[in-house]
Amino acid sequence: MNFALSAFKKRGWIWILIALFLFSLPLFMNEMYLKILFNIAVWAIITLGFDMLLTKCGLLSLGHSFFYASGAYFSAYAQLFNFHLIPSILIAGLGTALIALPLGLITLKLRGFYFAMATLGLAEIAHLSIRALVLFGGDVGLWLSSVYSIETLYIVAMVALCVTLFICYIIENSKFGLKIKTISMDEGAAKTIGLNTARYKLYTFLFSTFLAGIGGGLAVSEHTVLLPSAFLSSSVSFKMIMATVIGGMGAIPGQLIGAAFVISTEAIFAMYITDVKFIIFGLILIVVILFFPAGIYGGIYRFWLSYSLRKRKKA
Amino acid sequence: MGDVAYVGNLVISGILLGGLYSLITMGLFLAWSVVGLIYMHLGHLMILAAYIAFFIFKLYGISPLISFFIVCPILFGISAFLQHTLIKRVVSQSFVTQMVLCFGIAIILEDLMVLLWGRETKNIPLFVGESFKFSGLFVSKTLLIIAAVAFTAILLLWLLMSKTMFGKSVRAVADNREVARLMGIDTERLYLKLGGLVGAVVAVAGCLIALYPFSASGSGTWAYVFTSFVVMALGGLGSFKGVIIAGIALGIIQNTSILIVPSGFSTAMGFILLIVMLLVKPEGLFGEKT
Amino acid sequence: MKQLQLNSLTKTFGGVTAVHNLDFSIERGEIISLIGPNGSGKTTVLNMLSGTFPPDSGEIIYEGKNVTKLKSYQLCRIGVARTYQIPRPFYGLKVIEAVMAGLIINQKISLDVARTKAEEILSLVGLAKECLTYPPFLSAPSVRTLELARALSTSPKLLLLDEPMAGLTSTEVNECIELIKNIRSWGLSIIIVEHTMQAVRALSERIIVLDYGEKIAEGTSEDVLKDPKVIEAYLGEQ
Repeated sequence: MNFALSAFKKRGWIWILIALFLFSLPLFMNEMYLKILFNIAVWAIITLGFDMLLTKCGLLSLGHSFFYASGAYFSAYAQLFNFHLIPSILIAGLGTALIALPLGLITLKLRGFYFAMATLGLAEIAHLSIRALVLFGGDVGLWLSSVYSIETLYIVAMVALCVTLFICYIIENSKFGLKIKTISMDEGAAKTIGLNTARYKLYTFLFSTFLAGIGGGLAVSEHTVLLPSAFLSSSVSFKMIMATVIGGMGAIPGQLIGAAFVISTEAIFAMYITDVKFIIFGLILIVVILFFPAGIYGGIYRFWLSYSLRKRKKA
Repeated sequence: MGDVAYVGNLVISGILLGGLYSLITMGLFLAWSVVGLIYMHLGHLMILAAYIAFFIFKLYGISPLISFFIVCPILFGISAFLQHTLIKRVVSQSFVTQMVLCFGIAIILEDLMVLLWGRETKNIPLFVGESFKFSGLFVSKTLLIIAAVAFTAILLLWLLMSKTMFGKSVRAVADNREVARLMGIDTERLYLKLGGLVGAVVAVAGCLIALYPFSASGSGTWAYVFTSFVVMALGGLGSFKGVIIAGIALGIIQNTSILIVPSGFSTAMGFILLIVMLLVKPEGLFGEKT
Repeated sequence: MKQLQLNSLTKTFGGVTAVHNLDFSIERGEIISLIGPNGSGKTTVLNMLSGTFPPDSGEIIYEGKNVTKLKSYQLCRIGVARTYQIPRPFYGLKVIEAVMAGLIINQKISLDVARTKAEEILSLVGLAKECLTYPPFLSAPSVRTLELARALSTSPKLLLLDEPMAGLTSTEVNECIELIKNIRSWGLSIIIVEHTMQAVRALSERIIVLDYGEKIAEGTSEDVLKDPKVIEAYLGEQ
């Protein structure tokens, strides 16, 4: 994982170039592609949060879509009350983290399976109940008031992604990062060396749900109507798992790759085959988890390792 | 007087419903006790069984109460196949890997069923509207039949587990995998048979579910998955009778909660009950502490 | 004031009483050994002392305070550290990172300062060369040493060692004995659960013998190892 960071230090200018390129895209790229890149950025933000919870705390949040949806609803309502885009997205993130606080206090005490199931239940119940509540638009969905151009949304999403990446890298190499790594490896041993694991799991959970809320807030700003099934269905949770596993669990670049893979493949499928989308996704997921558990990034890393070893041998 | 009868109805229906819930959870429970894995895809296999039962009914007019004999072997085969090709590989791997695999299988099944049979709900309304009345209580005939079959199936399962050689081997492995293997039990073969059995159990539940509206899309599958998780956690991960009692308890609570909360939220009651339980006694009602 | 005092500690699992009415105490700077046949409750005692689970009844008094109900991380903060019988290293962390983790959790220092301190600790225990190695690539004795180094990184005052010599050759045992003596000279108290009599005799000022969860003997090595009750407890096992 530090291989990417050292690569950054050596060749930082490449990343700046890439960033400049990405930010300039709205000038000449057409709407459809911008939309895809926007979705990739949104999904990358969510996946980074999801993965951190999974690989650093060992918690599989099967119902993470709940927090994604919560962000969507916060943002939608904020915009209904005439908040601008960026404030409403921040409200989405903070509001979601706020809701997550009591939920986390209750569920984080549970072991892996129970936690997964509790979050699944949360998402399921939210999905069933939300349709009953007229407050959220009932069955028909919530009509959204403001419309932002895809260019604006894209830029905002990219900025959010850059900030998120920055924060994640800092966490990864910080004291906090080291502490939570111990939790995922052996929580009992971590407690024995003095770590209040419950508190650190909560911090990670809050950060993870905050990101999911931001993602939801961004995503909903692109829709005209907020349908509960778009944010709470099992396919949403599935996409999160897919992105993190296929991209490479535990590695920040892996999350980006995973998000890009899932969203772009989804876009390609949308053009040709919609029916078997999840069957193919499911098969890919199974193949990856069984035979390539390190994901795409893991494959790249291994290749880079053997390449640099060969280079050193020749020298 | 009418109120008492009403509540009485709810309780009785709850007990009957609980029988179904317990049956649904039996597969998950067996798999967990023996193999140590959470078979998240069982709920989807159950709905698959419901679809098969539905089509047997539609094409040949055979009631799902009889088509067990066709549906169970089919699902036995499918589940054993999944066990042998996929699940076997992750038995010794991390919890996350296991969950992801089962989740993946579940999603594939879900999409496959939607692809083949669409999103509309299907139903085999054999006994709709009919009910038994005795001493002022009304019980839906469908529910009564479902419960009868469910409890019978659970009884048969119990007999299988306690009286037969297979059952004893299964319990030996459930108690202590290493020792069982050293004593000559072929765990590979056992897992295969158990995988199949679990499919068959779930198939029975599926045939029964078919009497109510069901669907593979949306929450159709996940609601049952979640119910089985709740029952298992309530009943304690290690206990057969715990599953039965928890299933009945959930059934009663879900039904009687209609008195307090609007009907859409009765599923939520199970969830809340579970959370309360897990906070107070993490091993469930009858489970062992690990 | 005694550093640690156990009063009538009892712990039952299901139908089995693992520890029954155990009393003992330890002074600051002492090394005592906890011995006894397999299943006599030794690890259970360590588990209770390190907060893995609380006793069913009885008290643990540490430096005058009742710490019976404290959790592991709280006990570590007040100076109790332990190693595990079957080592539990952080498999995904390099050796130095594991030690740094213990340091930054218990002290407000930066990662760089932690790295320097970790290197010191690792030189002390003899693992300096393996700084950047991951646990799966370490030899078995080195993994145990890592366990010890990690425990030391938390600046303990009381060290609980669970069978640190298990599986070591006699040369390795001697090295370990020297290391423990070295550690003790910093003023730590140590409770060692051990089977290797060579180490028990060499290190302990006092030995406590458990059998079926009860204390059957206590005293110096000569006294205890000649005690007929102790001999019977061990022979009875064979």
